[in-house]
Amino acid sequence: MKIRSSPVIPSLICPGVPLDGAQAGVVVRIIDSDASVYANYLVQTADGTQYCGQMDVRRRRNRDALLRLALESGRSVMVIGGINSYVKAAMVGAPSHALFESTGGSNPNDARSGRP
Amino acid sequence: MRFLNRLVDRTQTTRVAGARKKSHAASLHYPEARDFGIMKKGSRVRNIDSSVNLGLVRGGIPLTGVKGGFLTRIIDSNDLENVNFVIRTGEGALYCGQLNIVTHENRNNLLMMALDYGLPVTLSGDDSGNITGLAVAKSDSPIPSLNSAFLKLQDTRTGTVVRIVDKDPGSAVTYVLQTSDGSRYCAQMWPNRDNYDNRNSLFMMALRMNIPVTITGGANHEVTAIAVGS
Repeated sequence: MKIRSSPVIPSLICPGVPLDGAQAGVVVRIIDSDASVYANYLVQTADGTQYCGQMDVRRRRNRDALLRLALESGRSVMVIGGINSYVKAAMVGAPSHALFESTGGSNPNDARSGRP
Repeated sequence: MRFLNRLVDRTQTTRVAGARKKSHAASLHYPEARDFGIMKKGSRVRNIDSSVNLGLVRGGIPLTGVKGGFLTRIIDSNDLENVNFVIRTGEGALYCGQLNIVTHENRNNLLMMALDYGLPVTLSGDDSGNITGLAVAKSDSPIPSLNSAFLKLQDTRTGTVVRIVDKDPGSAVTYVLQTSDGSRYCAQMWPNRDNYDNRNSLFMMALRMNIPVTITGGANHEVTAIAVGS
């Protein structure tokens, strides 16, 4: 029997631009509300834009732990948003190992190919 | 350093468990009692003779009644279920409370965090020194009381989490929120609820980081939403 996830993907409940594709920045807020079955994460990029993604913390415990670590430590992260801004990947680096240059207006996506 | 502390603790706990299992399997000879104390940075290491009793090693006067102060050690000894928490009061007296960490995982987590981050705590103990309740406050704040009778949060408010209270078996865990005008609200969560683990750990993060939180309370001042961070 094929086990399917909930057919309805809940919509985002936090403000900000829906996360689509890769964004690098810092996690500034984590929201867990009865209004959504998924937790919401707010990631702020270097230009000040806030992106909102969502994720099922029960199924993605480790990814959730990474994003919490990022909020608590202020480390920079890269998150990749999929369908309905579902966080399908999260990366956290050491504090000295920035994922993106905070100065200059380069596309943060460049970090993907710029780093090993 | 903080993370290291935790890792060390886990390793030691596992080691105790492993050692016991191994020796049970190998022979009937019971291993010598040993204890592992996790010390707060700067405290003196004392050699505790634990060879007399295979049970728990005491680290102070048995905790009876309500005592507030800072945790100085956590002693995880031969007993797999019970852990001793040593609290130092303002007068310098050491009290030792015992906690069953299997039935009170939440209290264990709170106390581990209190030791880890040096947060002020208040413990209440019964006649045998078992921990029956506790309150953990944020850093740089006075010793908390176990009281959580504040305004009931029934709407959405932003502030900082100043205290977490877990007492009386069968009652909810209470979170005290202080808003910018200084008023205090309490909200509660029942540990058997689905989203308790995630929200409780967000509350704990907010307490130790002293960062803004926004909480929504329901009809019974039950937490229906939490957002941590600016």
